Amino acid sequence: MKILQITDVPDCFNTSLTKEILFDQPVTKDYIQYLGQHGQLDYYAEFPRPFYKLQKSGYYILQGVEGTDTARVILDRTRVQEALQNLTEMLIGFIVIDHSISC
Amino acid sequence: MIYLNNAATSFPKPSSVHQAVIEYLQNPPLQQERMGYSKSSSDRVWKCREKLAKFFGTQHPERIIFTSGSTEALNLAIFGLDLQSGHVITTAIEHNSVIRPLKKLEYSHIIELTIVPCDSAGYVDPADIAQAIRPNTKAIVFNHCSNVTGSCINISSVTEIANAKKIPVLVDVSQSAGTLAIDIEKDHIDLLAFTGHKSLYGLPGIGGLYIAPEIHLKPLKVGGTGIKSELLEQPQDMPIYYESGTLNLPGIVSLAAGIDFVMEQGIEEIHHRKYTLIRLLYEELARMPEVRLIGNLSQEPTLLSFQIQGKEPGDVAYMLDTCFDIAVRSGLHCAPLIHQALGTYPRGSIRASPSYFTTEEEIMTLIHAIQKIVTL
Repeated sequence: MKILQITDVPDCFNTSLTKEILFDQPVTKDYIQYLGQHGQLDYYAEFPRPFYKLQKSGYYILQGVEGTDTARVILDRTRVQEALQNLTEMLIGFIVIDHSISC
Repeated sequence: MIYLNNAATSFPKPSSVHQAVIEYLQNPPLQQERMGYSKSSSDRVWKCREKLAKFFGTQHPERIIFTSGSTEALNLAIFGLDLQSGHVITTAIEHNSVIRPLKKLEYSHIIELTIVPCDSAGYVDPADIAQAIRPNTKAIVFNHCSNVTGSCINISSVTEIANAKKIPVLVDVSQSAGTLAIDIEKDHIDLLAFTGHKSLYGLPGIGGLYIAPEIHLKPLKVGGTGIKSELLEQPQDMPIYYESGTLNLPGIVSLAAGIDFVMEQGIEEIHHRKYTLIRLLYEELARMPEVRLIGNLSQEPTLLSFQIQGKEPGDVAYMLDTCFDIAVRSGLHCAPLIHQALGTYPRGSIRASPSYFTTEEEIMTLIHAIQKIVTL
């Protein structure tokens, strides 16, 4: 999984730092299960569109819908760069696993 | 998509609004004169002024100034009044479109500002506004209807006091125009700021300010007016004194059609429909112990804010949007002070705001979605 774009989500509401992530492919159930290795995962398969939420305490909350190529991440304001780097590394990790399965 | 964010902007617009805009685009005014000042029946801008004057209860259409919306109207009023070294009263239920201009003046030491508090349901007692008046009070600025709780301030209860002391009153009717009856002359309103794209069903980018004959404001902008071009200074005539630059003609045409729609349906009927839906939502959510309802039904609001225990309002709105295809609004709704009073600061609340076109079935779909979310 690669990140193609990260854009700010401007709003007037809270003190968090919310960004929208555009992935290079839709999020799959495998990907969501992979996320569970990296924090507290909530997965709501019974919703009309299955929803996931990954919370990595002190870094970020990543949430989105299975089958779409976007997700939202709420970064901890005190460590934005560190949180983004942590997220990116996690995604690279998924690519490695993905390749090993493909091969 | 079930759209329940009409307090932000209304959707859908009546088909008559669509038709009016299309007709305008196909048949724009190509005559030599600038529109808006001749009282001819073919002048669509003037016709809109007349409709607005009738709708808001004034005999002075020429004193209705078109702006880009409430924010510009409020800026024109607040920065246009002579408030130097004076005291201004506002309330805790204001939108940032009021708070920020006033705070700017306060921070610049131009005014002293009193913010009258609201209670834990978002209600402001007009007696508290009266009590805040000082000898040097130069304006009272207040929101007719909160965009967070739907709570309202009775306009005449404030204007009666202010008029007696000759203090100009600026009323922000962004949320109430098109849902609640407003009467400039009956309520003795000096300045009335409105937007066109909410419950008046116009396009975004159109709004206005009514300025009473005895009120003088400095213009917010000066420049081309299309008439009296020989003058090197701003013409003093109304309304061009305040309307430099090209008017938003598609917006004005849409607003005229929107007002026609509202007047045809009737304010009472529109309010009844919206409130009936909110009452249904309120009563169903009240059955869920995980839901905290913000405000109450005592003033028959046409929107409802709530929180879900243990869940971020932003997360709930995101889930409603992405999983259930329901659009609501979360956060502070650009009104931070009322959230402090409600105990919902800084995360804010989830707000559902139906329109005249919202159905009971759509509200039930929202209720069922929330039932699922609260059990997570």
